[in-house]
Amino acid sequence: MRVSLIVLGVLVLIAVGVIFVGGPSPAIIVAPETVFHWGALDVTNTMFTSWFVVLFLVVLAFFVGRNLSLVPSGFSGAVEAGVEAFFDIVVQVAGEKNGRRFFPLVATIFFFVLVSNYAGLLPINNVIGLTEPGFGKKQAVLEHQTIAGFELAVIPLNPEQVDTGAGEPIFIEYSDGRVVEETDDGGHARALSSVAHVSASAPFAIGHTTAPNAENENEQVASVTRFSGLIAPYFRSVMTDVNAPLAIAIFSFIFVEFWGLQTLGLSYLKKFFGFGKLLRGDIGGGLIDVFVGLLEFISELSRMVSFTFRLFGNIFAGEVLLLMMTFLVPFVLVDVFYGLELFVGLVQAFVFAMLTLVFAVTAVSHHGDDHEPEGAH
Amino acid sequence: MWNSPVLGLIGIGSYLAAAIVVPTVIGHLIDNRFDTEPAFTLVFLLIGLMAGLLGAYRQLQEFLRVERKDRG
Repeated sequence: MRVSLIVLGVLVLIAVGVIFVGGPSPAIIVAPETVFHWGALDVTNTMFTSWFVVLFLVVLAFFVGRNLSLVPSGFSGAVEAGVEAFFDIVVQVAGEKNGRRFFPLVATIFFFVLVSNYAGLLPINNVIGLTEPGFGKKQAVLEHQTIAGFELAVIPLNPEQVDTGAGEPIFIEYSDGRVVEETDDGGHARALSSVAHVSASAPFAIGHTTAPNAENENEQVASVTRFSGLIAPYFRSVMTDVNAPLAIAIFSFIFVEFWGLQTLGLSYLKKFFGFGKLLRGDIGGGLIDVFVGLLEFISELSRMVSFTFRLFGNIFAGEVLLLMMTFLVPFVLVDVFYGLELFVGLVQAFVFAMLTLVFAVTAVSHHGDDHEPEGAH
Repeated sequence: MWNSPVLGLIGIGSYLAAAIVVPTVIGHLIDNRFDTEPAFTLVFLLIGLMAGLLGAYRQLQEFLRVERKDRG
């Protein structure tokens, strides 16, 4: 009885969501948006979010580290248990000595990627941001309101949609009745120098418009006005910017090569430059060795690319899936996908860290013979 | 569980893909620079295929070696 009531409620919510609250399809834009400038640096929203992730991790580490005691308890005990469980896995894979050596990097990658992915699921992402006119995109008409002295663009339920072709001007109607025509000036919007991410977000989305209202400061009209634009959110999931996974992949690559060189010395490079047989006069075998070295080199480079696109692809696809589901079937179905994304976020963080570890173990083990990596069993 | 070499096989799919795509793109860029389409694209595609095969084979071999040892 109870179960059937719950099922019925869920079905009704889905029906209500699809019929009454379904939004327009959002504009998906891969490149991150610039939200502000800091000197010569264009600060994008993914970068901005990653600062908060780093800040969170540093503050967490500081407070947990301060409360360390022989008998761990409470929150710091829980964090300690998590870190220790991860440490045990690393030691099992790499052995005691190498495990201690690799752990700092591997754990940093794991926790940074994990927190980034989970931060990307918070509802502050993609909904609060600057608005700007979007060109060449189908977009929702935002309602422009003055709430408590702030000019805000509010996305209404079932918003009207306008279709702007590339190069066509769009019209912005301000609260004092002025209509301003804007044309595409090479992607440079009035407030931002970037393209936006979402044309219209969830029904509760709020964007801070940059409407020039200095002239009529005294007569703040609280009327609802149409404002056609895209939202450039302040916060966006860090790994949806391909630069972020690429940066981690490059660091992982550098460290793996460094550890290989540190452990095996210059003989590590033999893997890439197999000139030994050639110099000894064995032309046939020597040429094959040189060629294998080239393949080895390409495979190291490919590893970096595969690292980057695995993480980027998974997280970006998840973000798009959530966004699309929010617009197609609001209220219920999207929650299922949030659960899925929690899982994907954890798995991708774990895979990134573990593959770095496995490649590091491979790099420090001797090549060509059946010598086991030190301490591994 | 975690010291199993199977762990090394997590990335084998995307590795194989990247090993083929990356050199092909490099070859294509070289072709564009020197106007020699499609010579370098083909050569680098071949190299990529071989690198992917070799790398994937090596990772599999490691796995099979330990597997065989476990069976005695």
